[in-house]
Amino acid sequence: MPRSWTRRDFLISGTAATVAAVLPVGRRQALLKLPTVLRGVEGAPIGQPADSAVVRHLAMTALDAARAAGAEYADVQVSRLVSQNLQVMPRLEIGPTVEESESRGIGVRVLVHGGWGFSSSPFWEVDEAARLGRDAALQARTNDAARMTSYAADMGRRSAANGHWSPPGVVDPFVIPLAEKCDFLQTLSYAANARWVRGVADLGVSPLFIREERATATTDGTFVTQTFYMAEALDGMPMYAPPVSGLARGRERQPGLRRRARVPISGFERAQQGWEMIANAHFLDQLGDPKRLDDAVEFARARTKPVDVERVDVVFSADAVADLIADTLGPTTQIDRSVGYLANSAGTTMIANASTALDTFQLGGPLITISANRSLGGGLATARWDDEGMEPDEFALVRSGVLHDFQTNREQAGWLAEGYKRRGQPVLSHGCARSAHALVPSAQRSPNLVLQPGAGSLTFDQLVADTTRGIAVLDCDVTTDFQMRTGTGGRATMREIVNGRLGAIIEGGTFLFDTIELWTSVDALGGSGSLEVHPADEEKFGQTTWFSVAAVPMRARNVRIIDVTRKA
Amino acid sequence: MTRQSGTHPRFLSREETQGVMARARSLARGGGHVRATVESWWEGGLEWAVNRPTLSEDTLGVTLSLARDIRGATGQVTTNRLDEAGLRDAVRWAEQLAALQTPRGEGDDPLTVFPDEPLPPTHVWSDRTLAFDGDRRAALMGEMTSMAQKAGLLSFGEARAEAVGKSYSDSHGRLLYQPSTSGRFSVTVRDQAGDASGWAGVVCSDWGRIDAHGLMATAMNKCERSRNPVAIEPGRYTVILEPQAVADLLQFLMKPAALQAAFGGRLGKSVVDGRISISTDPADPDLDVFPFMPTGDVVRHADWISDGVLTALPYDRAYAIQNLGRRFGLPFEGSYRVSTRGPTTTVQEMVASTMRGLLVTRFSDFSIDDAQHLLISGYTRDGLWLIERGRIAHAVDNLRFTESPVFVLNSIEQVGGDARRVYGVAVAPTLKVRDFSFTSISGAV
Repeated sequence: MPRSWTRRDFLISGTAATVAAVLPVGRRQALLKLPTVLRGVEGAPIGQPADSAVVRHLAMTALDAARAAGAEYADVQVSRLVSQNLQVMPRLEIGPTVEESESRGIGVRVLVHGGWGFSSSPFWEVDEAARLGRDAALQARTNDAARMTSYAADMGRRSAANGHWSPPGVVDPFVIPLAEKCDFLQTLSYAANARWVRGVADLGVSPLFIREERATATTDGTFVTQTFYMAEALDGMPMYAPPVSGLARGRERQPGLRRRARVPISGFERAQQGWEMIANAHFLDQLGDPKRLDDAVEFARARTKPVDVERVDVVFSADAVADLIADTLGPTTQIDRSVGYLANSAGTTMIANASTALDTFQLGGPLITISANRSLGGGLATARWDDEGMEPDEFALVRSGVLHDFQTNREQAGWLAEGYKRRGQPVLSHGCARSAHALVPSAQRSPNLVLQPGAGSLTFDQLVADTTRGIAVLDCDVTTDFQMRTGTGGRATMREIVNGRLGAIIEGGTFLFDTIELWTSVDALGGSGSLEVHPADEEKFGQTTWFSVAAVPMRARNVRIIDVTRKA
Repeated sequence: MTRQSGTHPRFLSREETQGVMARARSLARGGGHVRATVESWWEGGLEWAVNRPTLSEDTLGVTLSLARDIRGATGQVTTNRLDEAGLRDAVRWAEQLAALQTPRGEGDDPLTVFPDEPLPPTHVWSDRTLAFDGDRRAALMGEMTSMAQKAGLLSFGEARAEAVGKSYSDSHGRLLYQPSTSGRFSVTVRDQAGDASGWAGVVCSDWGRIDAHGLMATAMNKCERSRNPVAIEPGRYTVILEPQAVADLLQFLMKPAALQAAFGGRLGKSVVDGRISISTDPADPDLDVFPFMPTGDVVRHADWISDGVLTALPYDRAYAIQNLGRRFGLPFEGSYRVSTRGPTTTVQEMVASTMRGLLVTRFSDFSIDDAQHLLISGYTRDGLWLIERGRIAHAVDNLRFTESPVFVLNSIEQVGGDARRVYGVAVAPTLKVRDFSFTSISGAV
């Protein structure tokens, strides 16, 4: 089990001594007082797990009722989701702010005569579970009246899974007493702030923890329980320093800072993690890393220049590449979107006929291979089973630039039967059935996505060094049209590259792209050592679900840079 | 007003909500006060794609947000468990969270003590929406897809009905309660090749006022007229923005923070074209204005912009008490009407008077390029036509735009008299606007 930091650890490490040495007496006393105040509120019941026997009984009751009402197939989700958002701002001396929530639900999805029905409610009651089973079947039957053409949903191979899963290595944050968490975060904040000289903006720490206990049962004989986690440390983790004061204790005043120096702290982006995200982040070590501090000073010193509208070679950071994958190739390879199931909302894709497009549709150049999985350690879409009881597999979506497969659930795999048969592949779901909560219906949703690294060991810095003239995109917000044919990378942090070195920060720059042209123009990828994992989300059928994207830096040639603030 | 749907009502009545609050108060320990908002709902919906149903659903939901205010400290939890154990847990958790904070005093926070104020009359309930059950939804869908199939087209759509009971209550004795309904219908029609697309939709509290057949006919007509689009050069164009397109842009302006950023410090001054007024009136029969906010503040009639002049900006009760010496805030609930003064023009007349321009159905896929100056980018969608010498010449490829809603409201050439409810929270007319900026071709259909 990962080591759990406590205030005692700070005392041992001497950090508390550092804190005591730099803080005014009043604040030292406040720090010492906090544990006493907090000690009385430990043991909140929100972390207690749900009664497994109750959950099973509810699931089976709903399933039996659905069967009795004529379901050809049914799946039941029973879930309990708890969240805890802590906000610690020691300089304000008001104590931590905590918000907690709990949400329970039962959702039943039924297939009758090729039509789907869904019914859900928050009431964990046996009579209610039975009602939901009957009502979901009724909803499915109402589609008979609406159907103009016959349609038979082929659910493919049956799967009867049994067992329990939770992600390995996760320290459940809800079993750690709230007082201990607050104490740790308070001490961490004081210790971090103690490293900076006067005038430093307040460092706040605001972790969010989510845990979902989910039971899935299907008429094929599946009954599984899984526990999912999500953690992130929101705002306030990066450090800021005013441009004219010293950057770190013991350093000389740093002249020539044009903007605040921001020391990036890694390891706090949303991931399927628990308390270990905070406890094991080596936050203070990162803060004291000379290279990080030097990079922050260099960035703060860089001059700015207005954007030139032009076409240049662009080196994208792994973060920017992850965004591009999540918003272009990811949704393009969703079969339901391609077929038209989102035509009335998010849109469709540029792929008109999914089955014939397999192994023929060119999405990018030969360096681009994207795979999908639900097994990535810490991945936000990672699970042992999907909502239909299938064990997800790892599969290629894009292979050497060519569309290879789609993200599918059991029904949707059958839509690709013709293409699968052509290449001798069994017709099997990839296990992408998911819902954000039992209260909303399951649908195909994005698994974790992985860009295969380049064969060598290139890093972002090396890609920059290998570029004579261009632009480096450090981060961006990607927006595309409703078929992902074209898009922009806006609110981008861009720097010019001159003779292999980072130069001025470019103000107001955005890159405009044609999706296929962009991915085809990639001529270099970072190696496996430069692989980073970043979170991404998708909104589909009114729900938001999260997944992770593992990406490396890349260089694309001849990318169009525009001034987004310039109108036509 | 609630209807039984098996074990539980579709949503909580006023009496049931009072019962929840009374139980929560009885469970409280350690003094102080209890505040709670309860929202319970039923939603029924049907979605379809490629002329066949994809999912029919019927769902219930409830959310209780409960706060314990104890000696100036507040603990807040959210739960959907309203049974005895769930309420007890929620109250205890809230008390424990309040205990984490440093108490700020013994007296009541003035913001938690409301003066008496009646709820305004509104138009947010319809029995016809509540009655829009699964059979009716399926029958409607069958009629829609039949229309599409007869024309050799594909339809994709949704038909939804929702009934909600919302309340705010506190241990000072305040109880606000309002049931409401919402009907939602939208449809996209595409040709078999996927080369043409039309759309129409509306949101309204009363399903009886939704002309689904009319909207379907509109979407089909737009699809048919979108065939064989040609590419045109991006640039600045005179545009005729249908009501949906107007609302799609104004959604970025009509938020408290955006209004403040765009117009702060300019009360009493002209900020947009003098023919434009924007208001929120709970009594407006076309706007479904909910009468109170989750904070307990009552929503009242507000004229935000009158004949182009900024006449009000939203503010909360804290600002009213601390800065204006008033007891009530002026919250912005989200719904608004864009009305016009002076001579109006029909869409046909707008087209006839346009030498060269574009007729726009709607926009989508937005990004905020510059929040400070409210510069937005996005794409046209589901119907875009070139106008030349007073006639609609042909369909064109979708374009990416970069524009500001403030600029749009200051560049109006003609206003329509056709203000109608859109798919959203607004009532808006057609507007003809000059110099609208399109920056690149999209090619998406």
